[in-house]
Amino acid sequence: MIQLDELSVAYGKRLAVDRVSLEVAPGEFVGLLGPNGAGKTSVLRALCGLIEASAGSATVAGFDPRRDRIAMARELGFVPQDLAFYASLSARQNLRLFGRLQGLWGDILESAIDRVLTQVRLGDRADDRTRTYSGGMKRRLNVAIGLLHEPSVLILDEPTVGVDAQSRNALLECFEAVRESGAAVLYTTHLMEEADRLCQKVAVMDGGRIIACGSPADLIDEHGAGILRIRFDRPPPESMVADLVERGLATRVERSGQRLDLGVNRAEPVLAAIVERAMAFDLGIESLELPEPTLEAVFLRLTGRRLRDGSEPTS
Amino acid sequence: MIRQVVALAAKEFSLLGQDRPALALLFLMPAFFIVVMGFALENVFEAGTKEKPLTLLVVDEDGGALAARVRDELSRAPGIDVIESIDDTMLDRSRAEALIRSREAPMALLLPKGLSEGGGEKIVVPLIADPATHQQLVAPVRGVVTGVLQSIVLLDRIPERMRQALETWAAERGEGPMPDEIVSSLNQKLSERLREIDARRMVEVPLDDPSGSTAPERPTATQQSVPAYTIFGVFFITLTLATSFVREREDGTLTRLLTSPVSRTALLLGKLLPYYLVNLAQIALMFLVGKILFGHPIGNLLALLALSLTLAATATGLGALIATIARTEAQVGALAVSSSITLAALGGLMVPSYVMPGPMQRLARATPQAWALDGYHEIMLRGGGLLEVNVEIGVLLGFAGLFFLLAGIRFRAS
Repeated sequence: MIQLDELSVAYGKRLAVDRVSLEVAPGEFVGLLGPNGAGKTSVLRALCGLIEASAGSATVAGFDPRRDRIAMARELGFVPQDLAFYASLSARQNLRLFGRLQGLWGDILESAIDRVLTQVRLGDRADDRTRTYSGGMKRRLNVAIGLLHEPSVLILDEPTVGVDAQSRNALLECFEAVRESGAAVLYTTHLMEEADRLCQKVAVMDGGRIIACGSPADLIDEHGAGILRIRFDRPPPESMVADLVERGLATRVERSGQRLDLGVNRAEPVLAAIVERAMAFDLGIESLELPEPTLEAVFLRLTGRRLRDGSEPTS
Repeated sequence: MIRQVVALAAKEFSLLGQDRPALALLFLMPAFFIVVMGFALENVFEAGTKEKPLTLLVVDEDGGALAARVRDELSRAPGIDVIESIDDTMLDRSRAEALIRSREAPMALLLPKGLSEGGGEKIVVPLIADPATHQQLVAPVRGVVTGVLQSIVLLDRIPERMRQALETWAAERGEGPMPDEIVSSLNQKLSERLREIDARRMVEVPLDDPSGSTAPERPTATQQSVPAYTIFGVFFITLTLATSFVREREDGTLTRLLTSPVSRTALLLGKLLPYYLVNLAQIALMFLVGKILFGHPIGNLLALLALSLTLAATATGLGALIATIARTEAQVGALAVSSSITLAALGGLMVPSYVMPGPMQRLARATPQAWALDGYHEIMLRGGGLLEVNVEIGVLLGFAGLFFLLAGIRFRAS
């Protein structure tokens, strides 16, 4: 349903997307993860026909997004990161407008509007102007517009960014329903727990390229270095941290006050070394935890950055 | 508090600096406007002075002594450049009217046949002027002509009145030489006669339209201005339209529209149509106000409708073009307002283009405003119909087509 074949996108001389290949089958929910500037949005814009690929190809529901834009758009539901609707109109009026642009009219349109309003839990405020909505309500309407015509392909660009827990939950349930309906969904997010919950496949992008792709479980198995989290009774000295990296015991190190997060492949040798070095530096260990490897850890290991804020840990 | 003010000001400078095209426009557009207005207005405030005389065609159908004196006096009057012949051929009425109709000259004075034969109590010398020629220009010329004629009349008529007085005296007395009481009596008679002479009543310079004009009546200065104000207002739609476009681009709704199964042509049409209709309503309202408040003539309705449809299309097209050029609301503001005012100045909406220097007059023809103004003047002030404004309508259609074409190309490219 979505097919990217060696897709490249360039802005002048700058290559934003570099030979990306990816497939999203019907009923598949694929997460596209990457730090800011990784090229995710350029991939989505190329898929929506908003920009032209400089090389390679992209198809959506079998259509070329540039040459068959209108036919493609009938199959496509796009939820941009921006709150792309009219603030001076009500939710119902916005949905009516975008529904009509999708070719829905009369009773079919009205029942589709009622359906998505229920899905995103906006029924009771449907006739209020959207400028009076909370941030979460606006996000839900943004998604509802993309779902209105029951597209066979759904592209979601960080649809839950900045929403409260209640709205996020409503949206995630909505996405799960879409996944069950058999639509092909491509989804970008900064939230690993969302990707973990929703995605059957995850592609990690960095520097315009896909650097890893697979199911969350496979990626964790392959790249999921654990994070050993230690809290000392005072901040650990720089020389101790440098020593751990030099000895190859930690793949990544992030230091914050008394806390030290270490990316590790195997915890046992590191634990022994930590205890030894702590004693040498006369440091007390207040707590120590080794959480289960997660997609967050995969991402950190592959890109050297945390996904949520793109910050680089010390290493 | 000072630190907070400084911090806020620094932030504002930083934001301003980020939108460099808008910043550049803020400085370039006023400079450009000053240059344009400077050249356009160069002649306006000096029009009718010794340095920048107003052109007055003089047609001498009389050929007598009085007409020669009038021509002579006018040629010595400061602020008026009298033209009696072109290419060594004396002007006749039809040639002068043709020059006025083609806007090559604003006015012509007709010295009618029989003027010098005199004897009549009243001298009538028509001043032919285009109905669209501003009253501010016609009035001073008319005043100078009237003054010249009055002075000639006084000098010409006083001896005649003296002779009449002597004859009266001779008839009554039949005696000479005149004793003092007779002189006194003569003076009394003469002053009585002179008091009868009211030069103002003996000279008339009526304003006349060129032949062929079907204008219902000569418009007032206010009436002459209504089309100009209307066109000026119409082009401000560019600001509203382009701002709406840029807002949609900035808030992402344009992206959403572009990912809908709607052609770009349909998107553009759907976007522009309301502004086009608003423009038409604007034109109708302004002319209605002009009609009701100032008694502005409307003229041929079909021609008026056709011209208004094309004018609204041109303004909407320009708005669409600005929308595709500007990237921010600040850029829209600078571009739309500056272009509206500059084109208005160039196109003769603020000052009549015929008082501008020659190069500026030619440049004015490159603005839709000038063609629209000509068209409305033809319909409303000269009584023209569809045939008379077909060139103006054609040119405006050309402008509209060009603006839409360029906007379409830029819209697709962006």
